[in-house]
Parts: sequence; structure tokens; C-alpha cells
Amino acid sequence: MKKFPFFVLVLLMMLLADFYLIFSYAPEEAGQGIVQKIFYFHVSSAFAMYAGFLMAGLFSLLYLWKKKPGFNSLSESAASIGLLFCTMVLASGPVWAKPIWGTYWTWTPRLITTLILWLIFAGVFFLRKFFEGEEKGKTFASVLTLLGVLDIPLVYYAVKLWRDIHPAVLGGENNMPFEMKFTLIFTNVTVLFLFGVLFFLRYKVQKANEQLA
Amino acid sequence: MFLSLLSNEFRFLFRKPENTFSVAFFSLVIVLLLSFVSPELRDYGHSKAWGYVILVTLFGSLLRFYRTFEPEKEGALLTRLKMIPDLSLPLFFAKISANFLVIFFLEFFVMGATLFFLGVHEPVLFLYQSFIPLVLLAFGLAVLGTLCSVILQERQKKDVLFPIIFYPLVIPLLMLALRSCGFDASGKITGIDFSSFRLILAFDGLYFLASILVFEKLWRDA
Repeated sequence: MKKFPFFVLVLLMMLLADFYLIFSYAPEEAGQGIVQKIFYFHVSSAFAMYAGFLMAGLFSLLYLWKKKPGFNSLSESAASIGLLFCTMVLASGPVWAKPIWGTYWTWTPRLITTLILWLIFAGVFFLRKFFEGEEKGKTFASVLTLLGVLDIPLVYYAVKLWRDIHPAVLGGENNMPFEMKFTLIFTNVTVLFLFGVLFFLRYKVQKANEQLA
Repeated sequence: MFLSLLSNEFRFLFRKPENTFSVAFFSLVIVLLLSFVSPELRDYGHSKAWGYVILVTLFGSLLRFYRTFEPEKEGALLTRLKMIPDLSLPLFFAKISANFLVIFFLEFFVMGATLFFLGVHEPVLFLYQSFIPLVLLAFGLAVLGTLCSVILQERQKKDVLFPIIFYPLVIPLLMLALRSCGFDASGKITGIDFSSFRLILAFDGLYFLASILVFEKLWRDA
């Protein structure tokens, strides 16, 4: 905990460097202009979202297996931060989509996948609220989190059967210039670091709440 | 033990038939509402017929899931049942079986209702192709619905919480069921999509396995 301000300081410096890279170093995309800069935050938030949900699933599994309350707190914290980044993905996507596709929302597989994940983990959040202060609520929320994580590959493959106009960042044909690639990688690292700091803070709040209760 | 629990489930179904019939009644109301809200469905709804059947079945099945553990609750049996060792899995299988049968018959009821009121006969006409997806859809809904029922069996406000946690989880199942049988604009079936079909199997298998693993914990804690 004593080293925590140091991590926050590092994070702030990384964020400043990231803003510099995005707005000054990385070139503007010829077709899309300044609006393409959202891409860096959008993609990195998506990685943080998956990290959060997968961690939540893992800690839920450990909680159901070992029944240690700490795992439940970790799962709840990871799911909350995952949900936060999922919301950021869903919010930043339409801002980018409007000038490019001409509409805020279109029913492409990638968008549907993200929306379903948001709905599932918002459901877990509601479940925890409904069972607040009850021991059994932890088991139920862990099971639901696990079911939600099991849904991730199914949703992914279900929507993959549809045609998608959403650009592929990984695995697709990629001819980004080096400056863009470097900025994207740096933003990913920064946002994952931000995820780690937020996760740590959320976990501390969670523990404090449990001690007060 | 499973067989006696299953026969109990059937007894519950017929002891208060109004509970079971209300599920069908509710589904019928939705079919009628669909036709009132969107009158063009009566004339041009053929290509969407399969979707109506799936959607109405989903809404109707919710009423059944609310009542999965009602008979035990009414008889104040839940606490005593939990004291019996090794009961959880047979009970879970019995509940799934009963829910599956209700949903399966509901699917046929909805197909009949859409045929009668909307004149949409494609789901019945192409039943030989849509039969297996119907079975898999009913099974998937039964597994997840029963599992969610356990979580909320003794909960007030479950009418609010149940759809919130249940619907998002079954969205992939519905999408795959919709895709598994394609209908063209005239309503003729364009063929079975085997990729979707395999994924429904994976969905059902995965959730069935997960349910078996976690049911004991849920049942004891609830």
C-alpha cells in the first residue's frame, strides 16, 4: 500500500505520454481524420474489459471451490472494473461510428457481443445488489459470473457466423504504419495498467466495506 | 429416487393445472399482441415465423420458471428436502425434465397458435427440419431456467431479477436457434445451418455440465 502513490504517479506519467503519442506522434488517418484517434482508447478498453471479465470468472471459480471470501471480493472488483471498461467500449464505439458509418449503432456481431456481455455482467451487478449483506448472494453471484464467462466464447462464435463490417484489430489484414502500431501498443499497456490500479482501489474499497458491515 | 421425484413433478403439473395452462394462455396473448401491434405480420410474417415461435416460447417459459420450486415452497418442504443427502442432483434432473416438457409442448402450442391466428404455417410444415433445433432450444432454456430458478427460489422480487439475469444468458441460444433454420421471404425453409446447430449443442452441453457442477452449492445455499 505504501508504494501505491508511486504506481499512481507512474500511471499519470504514462497517461500523459499516451496523450502525447495519440494526438501528436501518431499520424492522422487519411480517410477518417481526427475521429480515428478514438480507436486507441476504444481497442484498449476492450482488452481491459476482457481482462476484467476473465479475472472475475477465475476468482468466482476459486471462490466456489475454496469458499474463501477474499476470492469473492476479487471477483466482484474485477467484474465492476470490467463492466466499467465495457461501458467505455460501448460509449466510445458510437462516437467513432457516427462519422464513419453514418449511424451511432448498427447490429454488427462485434457490437452485439459487447452489448450482451454488458447485459450479463450488469445482471451480476443487480444480483449482488439484491442480495447485499447476505452470504448466499456471494455464491449466486459467483455462479452467475461463471455462467457469464462461459457465455463469452458462445456469443463470440454465435455472432461470428454473421457478416461483420467491424474492423478486425487482431488477426486481420493490418497495414498500420509503425507510429500507429506503437501508439496502440503503448495505449494498451497504459489502459491495462489503469485497469490494474482501478482494480486494486476497488478491491480496497470492497474490503473496507466488508470490515464495516 | 429420480423417477419418484419426476413422478412428483408430473403430479405437481396436474395438481394445479391452472398454473400450466396460464403459461399457454400467456403465450397465446403474446401471439395475439404481436398480430395487433404489427398487422402486416398476418400477411408478410412467413419469413419471420420461426422467430415468433422462439420469442413467444421464451416469454411463456418465464412463467413456468417462476414456479419451478413453488410446490415445495407452498408445502414448506424446501428446508426438509435439503436435509436429505444426495438429493440435489436427482431433484435437479427432475426439475429440468419437467421444465423441458412444458417448454417443448409450449413450442408446439405456439406453432398452433401462429398457424391459427396469423395463418403462418411454415413452422408446422417444415417441422421435420426444425424439430431437432426445437428440442435443443427447449433443453437449453430448461437447463438455464432451472438453474436461475434455484437462485431465486425463495426470493421476493424475483419477477424483477429473473429476466435481468436469465435473458442475457440465453441470447446466444436464441440467436443460434434463429439461425439454425433459415426461411426465405416466401416462408420456405432454406436449409439447416449446421454451424449454428453445432453451437447449440455446445451451448446445451456446456451449461448442462456447469449446472451439474454448481447445483449442489446453489441448492444448499438458497
